[in-house]
Amino acid sequence: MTSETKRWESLKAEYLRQVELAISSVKHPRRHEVLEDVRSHLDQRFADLGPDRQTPENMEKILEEMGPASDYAELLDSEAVPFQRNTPQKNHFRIVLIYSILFILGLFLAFGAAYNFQDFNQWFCTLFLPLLIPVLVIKLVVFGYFKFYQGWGLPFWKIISVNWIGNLWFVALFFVFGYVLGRNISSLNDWFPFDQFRQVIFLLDWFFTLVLVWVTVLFFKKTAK
Amino acid sequence: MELQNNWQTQLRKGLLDIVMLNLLRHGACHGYEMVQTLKKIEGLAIREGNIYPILARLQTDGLVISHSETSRDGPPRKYFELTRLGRVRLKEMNTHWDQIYKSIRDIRKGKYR
Repeated sequence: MTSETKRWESLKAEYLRQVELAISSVKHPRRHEVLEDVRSHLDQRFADLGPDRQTPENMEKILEEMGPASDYAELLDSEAVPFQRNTPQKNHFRIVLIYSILFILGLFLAFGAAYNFQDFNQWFCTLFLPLLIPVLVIKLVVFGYFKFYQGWGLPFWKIISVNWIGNLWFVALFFVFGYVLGRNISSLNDWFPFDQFRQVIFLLDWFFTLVLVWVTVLFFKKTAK
Repeated sequence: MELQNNWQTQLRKGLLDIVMLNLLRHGACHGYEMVQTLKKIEGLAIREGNIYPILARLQTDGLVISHSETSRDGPPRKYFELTRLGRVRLKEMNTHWDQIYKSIRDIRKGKYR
């Protein structure tokens, strides 16, 4: 070992000791890994100097360019910038899923209320199920268009107005199918018995969806606080 | 002048995560190579040791993984690369950065006055 190498090993050991001391204050699981990475980096820097440039000045310069030991602790401290495990995409998906459940439940309660929660055979398979997918699609699109899936901090007036728009689309499409197309295409009546449908369901669906969304938004707002 | 230097240092430190992730965006890279690249970029030059605690943090957060590869001219080298979560996070960070950049540019142009 040459005198330059000896000198370098001594300087390196002292620098690593300072880094170790600094990062010992941070309870990070990878702090020993950091120390090994720094050691490896220093070895590489020294090797890159080549035998004719291994002067004390250049060795000092390498350590200076590495930065003070206190920097390591500051940058390793994960408390400073914690990352959320749940990505916004996942939250977005969850919000859409919750809204879907609310829309389904809203329509179910509307049918239940309209038929006094009796005679399930009369409405569940013949009326509720055929309408479920179109209503769900309309409401999801309308609520999505008004950016309802970006969080729960929504003002109540917006929930009312957007729910109105969603139900207006529901009513409009129902009438187009039921009264315009239904009269001309008999097979549509096989798919859905328009005559048996109670129109109060439009209003009840609007009401129940509104209540369910309100309660859910309130719940998430309170939970967030 | 000291205030200016402090602000620049803080800003640079705040941006290091996005800088490192973007460096890894195009493939695996080892720490030493990343430092050499950063040195060439005006305004982003950092103290060489700074990248290792950041890479350690990014690994703990699941955004980056590392593996060792043998090297012809020395000991095995540790390579870092983005995980799938890292790519998702980086996309969000870049979008957010673009938004900040645009907003500051608009303020400077007096758009909000």
